Amino acid sequence: MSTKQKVWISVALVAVVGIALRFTLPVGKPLVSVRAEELFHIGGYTVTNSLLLTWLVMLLLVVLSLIATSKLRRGDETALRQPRGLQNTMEYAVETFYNTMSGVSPKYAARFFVVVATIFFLVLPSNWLGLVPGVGSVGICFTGGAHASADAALVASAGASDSAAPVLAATEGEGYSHNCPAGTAFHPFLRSGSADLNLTLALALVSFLTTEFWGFRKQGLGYLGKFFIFNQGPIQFFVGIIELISEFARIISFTFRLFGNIFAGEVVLLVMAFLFPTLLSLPFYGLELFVGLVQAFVFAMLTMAFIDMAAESHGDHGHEEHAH
Amino acid sequence: MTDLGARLLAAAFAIGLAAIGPGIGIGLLVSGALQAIARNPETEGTIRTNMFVGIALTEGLAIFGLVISLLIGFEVL
Repeated sequence: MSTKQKVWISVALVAVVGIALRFTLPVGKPLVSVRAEELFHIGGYTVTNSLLLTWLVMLLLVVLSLIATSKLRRGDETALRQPRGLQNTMEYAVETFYNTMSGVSPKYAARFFVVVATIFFLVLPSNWLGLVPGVGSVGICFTGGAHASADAALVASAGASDSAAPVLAATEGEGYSHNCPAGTAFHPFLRSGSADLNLTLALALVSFLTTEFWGFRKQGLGYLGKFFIFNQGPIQFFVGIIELISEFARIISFTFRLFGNIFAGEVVLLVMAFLFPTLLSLPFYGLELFVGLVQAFVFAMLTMAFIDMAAESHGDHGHEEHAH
Repeated sequence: MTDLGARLLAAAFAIGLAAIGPGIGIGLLVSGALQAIARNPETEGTIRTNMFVGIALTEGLAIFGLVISLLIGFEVL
């Protein structure tokens, strides 16, 4: 039996079992929460499930970097000239990304690669780890309030996997997602970090502050002359004001572009899985993998482009346009 | 019109109308990219990269509409 036949048979098996579970077990409505659900408290600080996954992503990145550069840090000459294995893969990823960023901004890519690459290599695993089976579907029936008591039983969503051990609730299935008892809500243990407005807003603010810092550093207070143009007539004055508003609108745009893509992707996968188990969400999984990569790349690349534009004064554009 | 009916209509209109503009925009984008590749097949990589960036930006506008639609539909707003 060839590999291809084995793949087809396994897919068919999982689909059949998923469909059978979906139509035999009680299923409520899919639960969608814009706000990341809280898990526990450290002192007065609330830890949400997206924060937990972001910590895992950070741990993953640090461990990967340490392993990939272990030979280099020991002073191994051959590893410097002929990288192998994980080191080679990481170098390839970073170099490819650096070459692309140099294409966007030849002058400032080297100086700001730290910020831009951090944004990319943080957002990309954040997006992709949200697709791992179990993220968003395995969780706890959370009794709301100050104390995160593990009162209710541990449940997994019905129809999502054939290795689940679902708990049947005593009350009616409709209206309660994941068969949680009344008065509790279902909180997944893990949730994609980029599906939390806090992370995307924080990254957007970092991007904004880096751009503004670079504008002021490069042009001093003359950077404000880009937005408050007093000596070229009333139309140019309003153009400057609109540019100022668009600088701040970028924060909103960055935040909601990443959040919207990843959160909507999660919701689509969830709703598709509840409509028809297993098979219907497969094409959307492919789409979400692609979208995760593109959105991480766009976030980083736009940051680089805006940093590049912040270093040029409004006068440069004006002289090109009004050249006689 | 009941509250639930108005909510459903709002959610439908939010994403429906939001998808028109970006749909046309992305069509124009890809059309331009295909023509450019046809004229100059050597620069296919550069053109493709920039095309995806343009698509991501345009699609963002439709995503804004989708987010509002989801917020209305799931009674967050």
